[in-house]
Amino acid sequence: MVNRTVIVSLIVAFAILLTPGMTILSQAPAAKVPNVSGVWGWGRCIDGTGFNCMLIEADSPLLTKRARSFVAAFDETAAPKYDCAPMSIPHLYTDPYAYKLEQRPDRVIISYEKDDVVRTVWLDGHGHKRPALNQFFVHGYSTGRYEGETLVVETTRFTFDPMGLNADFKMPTSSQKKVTERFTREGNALVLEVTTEDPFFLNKPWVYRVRSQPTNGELALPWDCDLEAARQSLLLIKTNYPEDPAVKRIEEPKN
Amino acid sequence: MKILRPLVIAGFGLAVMISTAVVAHHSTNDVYDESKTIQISGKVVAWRLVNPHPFLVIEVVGPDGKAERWDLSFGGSAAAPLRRQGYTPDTFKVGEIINARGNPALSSEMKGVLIRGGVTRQDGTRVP
Repeated sequence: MVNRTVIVSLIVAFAILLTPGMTILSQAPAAKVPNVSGVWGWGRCIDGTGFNCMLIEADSPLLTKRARSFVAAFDETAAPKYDCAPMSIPHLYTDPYAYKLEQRPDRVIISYEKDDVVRTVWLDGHGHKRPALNQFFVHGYSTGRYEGETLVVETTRFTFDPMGLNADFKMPTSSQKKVTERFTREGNALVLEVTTEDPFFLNKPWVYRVRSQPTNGELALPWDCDLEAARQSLLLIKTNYPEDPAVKRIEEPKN
Repeated sequence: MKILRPLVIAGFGLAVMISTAVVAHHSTNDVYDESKTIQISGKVVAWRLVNPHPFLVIEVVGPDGKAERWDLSFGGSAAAPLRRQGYTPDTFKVGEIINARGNPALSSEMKGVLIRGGVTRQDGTRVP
């Protein structure tokens, strides 16, 4: 009788453990997702240097010889920004504009006031497909995960970008660029650590940390780049190669 | 149109720094002579509060009586920061006379000024 009771109890217990609900209960509880959502203002360097931590000077030991040579050779008038091309990360954080983080269950959307840029961060563990081998993007391909109180975003698959490190100083990045962003709340503020790696143009990873304050209201959108205004500066800039034929810029058909 | 000759003012005394952070990182020293400050007056030809940079062009008549177009730059500033300072799409009317002070462009082909210290209207009121 006792044996029969024990056997029945074991069968019932085993059946309960096999039910989906109990399976969930048997796992560790889901990690709490830190709240980093919001509209965040232009970050200022935590080291107290204003915005200078986000700049790489031409004589920086971080730059490879290849990078210095590129800066010397590149013609400012060929910079894609004069055709309204958008900036990429890490430069996007260097300019004085706000950005917005929206956390969703399987992704994070990052929108920037500058250049109408919107990035999607595909959170790990949701079965998102990776891009094909031949797919590269101006803003790269981003995946994300939560580590404790921090949203960690890793971005690769960038196209070569002549203004990828800094658009104003003609500093490029290659398709080897990898940018890691770590977003962490600090009271009402948001701390962002940006690590940029690019073995072609950087001798070692470039890391900076900035703190942003929340801003009131939404982003000032759309950016809606004005081609004539973007190119106005070109009238004041001399080409490095005056012996070459004058550049005729691309034009969009007028509606 | 009231015409004022471009006046070169030596030294830094009148150079009032505006939006220093925005201007500084756009490497304007390759485009403007930041050792000089000039004051110009002219008729507004175009004004658009747009991105990436607001578009303000005036026509200035030089000492030889010849009218030339000058680009007035707010540095690296985009539209949103200027809106926060009070600029609007209607701040300047085409045809009105304005005065500006700042660093002259290095280019010999196109005239330009990097505004330092703001803009005033013909009656002297500050803009915005």
